[in-house]
Amino acid sequence: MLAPLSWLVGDHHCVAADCHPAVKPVQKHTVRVAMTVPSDPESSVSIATSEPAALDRDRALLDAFRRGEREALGQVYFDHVDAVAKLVRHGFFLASHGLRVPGASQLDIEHELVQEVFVRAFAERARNGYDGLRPYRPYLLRIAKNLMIDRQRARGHAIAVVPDAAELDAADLATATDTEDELHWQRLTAATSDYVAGLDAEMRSVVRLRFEEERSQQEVAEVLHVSRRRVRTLEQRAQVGLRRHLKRLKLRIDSP
Amino acid sequence: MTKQMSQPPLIARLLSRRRELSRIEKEQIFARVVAEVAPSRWRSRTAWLTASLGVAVAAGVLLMAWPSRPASDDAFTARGGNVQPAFRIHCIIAAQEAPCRSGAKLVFEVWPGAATYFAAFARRDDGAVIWYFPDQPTGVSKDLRSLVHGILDTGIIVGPEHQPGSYEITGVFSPQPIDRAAIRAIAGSPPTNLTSLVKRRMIIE
Repeated sequence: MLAPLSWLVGDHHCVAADCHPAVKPVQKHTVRVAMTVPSDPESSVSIATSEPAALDRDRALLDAFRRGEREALGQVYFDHVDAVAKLVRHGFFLASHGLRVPGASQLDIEHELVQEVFVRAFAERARNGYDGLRPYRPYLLRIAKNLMIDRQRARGHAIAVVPDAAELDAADLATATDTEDELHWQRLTAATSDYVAGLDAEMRSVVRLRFEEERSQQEVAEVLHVSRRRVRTLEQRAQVGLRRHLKRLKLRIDSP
Repeated sequence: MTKQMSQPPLIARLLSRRRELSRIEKEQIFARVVAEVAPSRWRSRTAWLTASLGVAVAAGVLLMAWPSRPASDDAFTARGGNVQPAFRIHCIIAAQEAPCRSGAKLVFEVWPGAATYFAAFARRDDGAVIWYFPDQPTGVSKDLRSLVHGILDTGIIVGPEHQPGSYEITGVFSPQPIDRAAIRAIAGSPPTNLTSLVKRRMIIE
């Protein structure tokens, strides 16, 4: 709970919402709006749905989430972004229709779709509309699926009809990649391993903690007993160094 | 809003040893999400902010100076400094958010991340540049410790220099104050680990 913000108004100090005539205390009330759940006939299509302990089981988190508090939004976001990103990247399969919705073909589209999912889910009305009873992840994934379908249609692309729907499942979608693309990725990862092996101990630690273990800059700083700015510097240096290393090897980095 | 990424996303993914979103990409996306879903926070603050705005009449770009406030424990500043900086602009007319047009007040809502200073300028589609911060040729970027509820304490009056049209507003975040020459250099170069560029589009009616 934050201390009230005080500031100088005119010639005297006032506490927020107490003295400035224009200040209106934020109305706090519980809004229960029937959440519009996008229809999803493909509930059997699975991406990993293991639900972390969160929104539908933590009342304090739910309340903070509804208020739009940044830390709560962050916790919910990081709990679910991997699942959303995986769906966006790999696409999904409409079993009942025998249709394949492809994943994002480019990184910027991937970013755009992931961002839009959370913008919609984190909008004030959507936050207040979530009843805290149903698992949250399926809701997010339905938003993602609808966005991907709409995008395909808006671009005039037909959604591919899969001739033998019974043979495909989500696992196939998740692993199906172009052979050449896969080989290129292997070359990149091998070059990256060589690069990382040649770094000093501090840089290797940053790479491990920040990239492989996906810790925040602050967490990495605490583990390594350095400043957060130092972590940011090393993080940037690691990326610049890898990019130069790959360029020397003439390995293109314009696609995942 | 576009954000110049320091390096291609693929580099972070390679260092992460996986082809999925890296932590850095997730953080950048999250910053943009928060910037988009902030309206309720904005509305709770804008009432008193816009009611207290004064207008300073001057040639060229008109600026309003609000009393500088001490830094406070603002719930809306980034925690832990691990979120990328971002900003939004709001046009205010008669204490209400409105379309941007002559006479409106441009107000900057800022998420500083780890940055300490903020500079901004607008570029019209014909290439003309309008400086916001610093507002003087000899000035430097704004100290973000002057943020009040995430709002920059100085706004901009949309004057005759803002002809109707489309503008790209560039925000430059830095750890130290920088002058216009440095800002120009930063805006024209790939971003470094010390600075961040954030761009937004504004339409003047």
